[in-house]
Amino acid sequence: MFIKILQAEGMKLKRKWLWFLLFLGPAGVVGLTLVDYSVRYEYLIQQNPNVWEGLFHETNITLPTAFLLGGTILASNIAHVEYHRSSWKQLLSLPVTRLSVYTAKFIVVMAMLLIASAFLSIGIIGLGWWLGFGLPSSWKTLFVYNFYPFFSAIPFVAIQIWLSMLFKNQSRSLALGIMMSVTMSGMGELPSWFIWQWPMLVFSDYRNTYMITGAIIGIFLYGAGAFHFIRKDVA
Amino acid sequence: MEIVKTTQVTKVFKGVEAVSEVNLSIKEGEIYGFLGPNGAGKTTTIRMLLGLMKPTSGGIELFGERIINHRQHIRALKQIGSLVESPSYYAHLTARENLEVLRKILGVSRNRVDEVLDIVKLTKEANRPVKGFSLGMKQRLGIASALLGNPRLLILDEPTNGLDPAGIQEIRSLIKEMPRENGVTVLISSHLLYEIDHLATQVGIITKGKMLFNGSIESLRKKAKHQVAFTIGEVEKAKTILLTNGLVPTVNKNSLLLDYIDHEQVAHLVYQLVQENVSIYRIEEKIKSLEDIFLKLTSEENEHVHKNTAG
Repeated sequence: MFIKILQAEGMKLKRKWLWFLLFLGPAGVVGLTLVDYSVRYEYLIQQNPNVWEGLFHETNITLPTAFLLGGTILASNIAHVEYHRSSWKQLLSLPVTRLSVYTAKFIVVMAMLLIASAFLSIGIIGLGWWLGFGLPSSWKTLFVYNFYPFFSAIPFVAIQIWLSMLFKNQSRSLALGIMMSVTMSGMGELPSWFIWQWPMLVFSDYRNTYMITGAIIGIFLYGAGAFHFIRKDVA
Repeated sequence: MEIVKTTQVTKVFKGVEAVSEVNLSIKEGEIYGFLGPNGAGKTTTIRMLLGLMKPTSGGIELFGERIINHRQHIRALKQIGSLVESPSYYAHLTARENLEVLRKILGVSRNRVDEVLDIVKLTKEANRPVKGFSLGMKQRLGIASALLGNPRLLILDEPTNGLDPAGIQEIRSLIKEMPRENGVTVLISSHLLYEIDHLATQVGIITKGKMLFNGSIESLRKKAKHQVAFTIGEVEKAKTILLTNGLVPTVNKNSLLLDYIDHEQVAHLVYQLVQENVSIYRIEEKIKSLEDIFLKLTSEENEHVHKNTAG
C-alpha cells in the first residue's frame, strides 16, 4: 500500500523542473569549484599535499549552501503541489493514513537529495580527473565529504517539510530555509546544538557525531512533524 | 440501512460553534440535499464526515459503524467518493494522469479510468493538461475522481458552484442517474434550493450551524401550499367571522392569511364579510415557492440569533 502512495507522489512530480534541479545543484557546485581552480590552480595545489583532500575542501565552500537551498526548494514544492489547487482535501479523504502521506513526502525529498549527492560525487570525480588528480585516493573520504550534508541536514530538511506542509503560504518556509542556508557558514560562535549550522561543520573534529546525531534528531523531528500533521484539521 | 448518521455533532473553531449539535440521517439509495446559505456549516459537516476535521463533540456513524478511530474512518473512506468545494487537481498533469494518481492509491483497475472519463464526457480531453480546462470541465473531472473508486456513498459539496446553467443541468442529470444505475447514495450540498429541488429525495436545511429542517422534499413542499390573503378594513371583526367559520387566519397588519381554501369557501366568506359591513380591499392568492420557505426558515433563524445577541 505504502509503495502505491510513493508511486503516486512520484507521478505528481512528472514534468516538474525539480528533476532538473537535481542536476543543476551539483553542476553549480562543480562549476564554481572549477572556476576556483582555473583562477588560482597553482596556489590551491600547494595548500594540501593530498590534492583530493584539497579539492573536497574547496568544494565545501559552496556545497552546504547549495544543498540547503535545494532541500528548502524541494520541501516547499512537495507541499505546494497539494496546496496549489487545494488537493489536500482530495488526497486526505482517500483511504490513506496521514502518516503514510507525510512519510511518502519525506522519503521523496530525502531520495531526491540523495540522488543529487550521488550526482555531485560523480561530478567531483570527473573534475578531479580533469584537473589531473587521477582517481580519488580514498573512496571513503569522497563519500564522507560528499554525503556529509545529506546526513547532517536531516533536521534542517525535516523542519522545512513540516513548515511547508503547515503553511499554505510557502514564502514562510522558504524565507526561513533561504535565510538559514545563506547565513550559517562562518557562524562558528553558535552553540553546537544549533542544528541549522551542522551541515556547515564538515571540517569539525566532531564531523561523524554531527552526521549520526543529524540522522537521529532528523528522524525525531520528522516524527514530531508527522504527529502534528496527523492531528491537524484540513481546511 | 443508514449510510450516514451523525448524533449531536458539534465543531467549535476558536470558541465559535460552526456546527452545533447536527443530526443527519441518510438512508441507502437516497439523494440527500444538504441546504444552507454560505457559511452555514455545510462544508464543515462534510469535512467531519470525510475525516478531514475532528468533531469537537458528538458521534459519526458511516455504513452502520460508529467511527471512533482513524483506522475505522479509513475503512469507511474506501466506500466514499467525494468532491469538496473548489475543484482539486494537479494543474500540470493531464486529466488522465490526475485520475491515474488517484487510481494508484485506490487500487482500482486501469479500465475504470476510461469508464469514469466516459461518464463525465471527458474522454476527448483526457490527454490535455488540466490547467487549460474550463471550470465546468474541472468540476466534471472532480466528479470523475469521486466516482473512480466505485463508491457506495458519493459526497458532493457545492458541485455546481460557479457553473453556467448548461453545466448545472449536465451535472444534475449526471447525479440523478447515480442511485438508479448503481445504487449509490448521494449527499449533495448547495446554497441554492432550486438546484437540488428536482434532484433530492430528502432535504436537510442548516443555518448558523444548526439544523432547521430534516425530512422529505414532499414534506417541505407541503409547506409551500398556496395561501389566500384578505386585505380588509376591520381586522378584528373579520377575524371573528372567519373563526366562527372554523378557519384560523394569521394576522398580518391589515390582512388575514388563510391556508388554501376553494372558490366556494371564498365566495361564502366574502358574502359574510360584506353582510357584516367589513370593507374588503383586496383578495389575493399567495404562492409560496420552496425558495420562499427556504429563505423564511433561514432568515427566521438569523433574526432569532440577532435577538439573542442583542438581548
